[in-house]
Amino acid sequence: MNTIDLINNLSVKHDITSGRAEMIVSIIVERLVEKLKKEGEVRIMNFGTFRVLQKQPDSGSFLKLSEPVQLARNLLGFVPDKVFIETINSQ
Amino acid sequence: MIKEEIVEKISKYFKLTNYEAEKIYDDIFSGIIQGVKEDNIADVTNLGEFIIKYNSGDTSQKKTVEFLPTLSLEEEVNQRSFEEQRTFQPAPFTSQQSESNLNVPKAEEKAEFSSIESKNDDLKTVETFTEKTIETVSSGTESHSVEDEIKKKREEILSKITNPKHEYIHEVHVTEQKITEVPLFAPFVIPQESSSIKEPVKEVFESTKENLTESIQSNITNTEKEVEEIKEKSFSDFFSEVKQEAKQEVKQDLKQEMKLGEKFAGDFGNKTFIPPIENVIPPTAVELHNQITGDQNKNINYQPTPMPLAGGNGNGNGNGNGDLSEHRLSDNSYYIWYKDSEPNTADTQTMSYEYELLYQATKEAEYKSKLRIYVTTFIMFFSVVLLLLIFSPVIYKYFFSPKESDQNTEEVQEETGVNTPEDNTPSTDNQASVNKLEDNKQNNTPPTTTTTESQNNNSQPIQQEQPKQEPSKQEVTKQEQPKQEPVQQKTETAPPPQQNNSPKVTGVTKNAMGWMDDVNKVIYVQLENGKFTIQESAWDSDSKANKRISAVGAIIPGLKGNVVMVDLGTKGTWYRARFGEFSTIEEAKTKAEELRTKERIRLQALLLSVFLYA
Repeated sequence: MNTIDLINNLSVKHDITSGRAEMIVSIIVERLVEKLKKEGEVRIMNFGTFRVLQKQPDSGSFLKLSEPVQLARNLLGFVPDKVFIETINSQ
Repeated sequence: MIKEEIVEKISKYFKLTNYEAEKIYDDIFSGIIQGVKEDNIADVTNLGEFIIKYNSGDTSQKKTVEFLPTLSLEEEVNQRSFEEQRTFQPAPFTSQQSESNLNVPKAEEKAEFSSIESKNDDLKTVETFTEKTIETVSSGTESHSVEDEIKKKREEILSKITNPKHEYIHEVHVTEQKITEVPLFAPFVIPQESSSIKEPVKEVFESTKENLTESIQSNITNTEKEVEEIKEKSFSDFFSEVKQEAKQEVKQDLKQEMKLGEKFAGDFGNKTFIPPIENVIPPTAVELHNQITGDQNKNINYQPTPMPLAGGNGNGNGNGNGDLSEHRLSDNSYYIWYKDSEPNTADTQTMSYEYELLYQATKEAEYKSKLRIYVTTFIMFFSVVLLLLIFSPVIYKYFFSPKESDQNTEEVQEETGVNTPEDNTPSTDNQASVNKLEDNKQNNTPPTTTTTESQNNNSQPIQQEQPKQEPSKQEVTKQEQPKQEPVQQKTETAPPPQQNNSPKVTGVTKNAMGWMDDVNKVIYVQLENGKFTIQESAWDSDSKANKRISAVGAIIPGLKGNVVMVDLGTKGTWYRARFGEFSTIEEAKTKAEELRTKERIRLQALLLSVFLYA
């Protein structure tokens, strides 16, 4: 399943155009990312929680000056909700 | 929270109720869950992939979900971490802390310096300086503190070079300054109570001032020359990307600045360099840019940032002032040249949605206007057709029928004719000629005019000749109208008027040919057997007359017709189309009226179909 399938299902189910459905999905993803960037954690009911995990900076090397450089990197984690887990485990 | 925001946004953009928007929101995530359940994977654009992961140990819940974010999302998240570091504001640095820290030196301690008044008479500057990280000055060895300071600055410069997109923004308020008295390095923290630090720092400043005054002067002149050269560039050069030549120039400038920095750093036993001067934006260019972008207020209060070496905010190597793309305004806000700024994808996305909505609204308005034009045109056309239908009898009367004046004159002439029913003078010769013509037709011999006819022609100079009708209407109806036969009084005369048999019918005028019906445009001719026939038309060829007979037979089934040929001498040979035999003129007139009425109806229907088709 990909975004196109999701958009098609949405347009059929709610009797809207596929363009509108695509815009709605894009808006949701966009707001989700913005919120994640701003607050670092987003919780969606019955779906899961997105969380930014801070990782200790690794020491890389800057080849031009051959000196160590601190490279910070954050990870994005997702914890599925209980409903999500139960749904995919149900027969 | 996020659900409410998204629901509100969707309902606002797409004019949906909150309930519908909420349902759509729920369905999207439930659709993702269903997709994961069915296909074991759900790929959401710009977000990531949700993949099922199997747990071997847990039997109750074998499956769990793993989320793999997209690269763009990871980059944005890392951008957030960088911004967090930039906007970090540590606790204010107090004098007690400084005293305690002076005794115990620490490395990498975050501090904020605020409102430092230097009692040095030469320096007389008041600066508010916010620094992310700075190493505290050691109380024991002054050389160590200076070296650490330089090292720290160098690290900052390196970090800035490795990630040149992100700019440090420093707010500097300068109340009083002298260009020649500005130190090249970041201000040291000199608390008022700590006299042990004040003196060595003062010595350092004095030594640097004396050693570097000359180099600063020369550097200022060089920088002014560079500024003048850059000002000579066109405005479009600042919008274009840095070309190879410009890059080479920047590299040369970098080398020069590094050499200069090495000179400066030679006094302190460490290497440092001054960041390159990429370009200087002239105020005129910035004003023009503000005019384009609509920021008119910034034009008035615009003040360019002082030069890095001439500025009052420090050394210019690492505090962000080395990049002259930043310009400070009078309200302490920074104008950042967007050449170095990053495009915000979120704003672009939002703009695209709004543009999409605007595009749809524009299309809808165009469609409505076009529809209005089409409907108006159709209504106008339909009204014109209706008017034509309503006034079709009038149009037919004026355009398809012969002129009344000709008919009147014809009647007058006929009235003044010799052989009128009122005269009651039978003309046996005429009757004989008619019979002869009939015989000629049957024998297929051309008719010949008798001498009596010519004599009568001479004796009757008044000849009635009707003009041929207009062929234009015949083209429309695709029916050829008969040509009016030129009439000679003597050659084609009325049947022998019998005093007793002469009918008196209203609307019928008797002339030499017979009884002429002006309304139906036919002539009722009395045959030898005393019956009346309808002479509907006369044609110049036999085929046309036969065609007319067949056409009339199609209009009125059962009405039989025949063709009678007459030779009128100089007028030519004519073929008369006659229909039926009736005992009285009234019957003939009724049939003629029926014929004309049906013809008129057919003509109207044809006109209507032509107009509708057009």
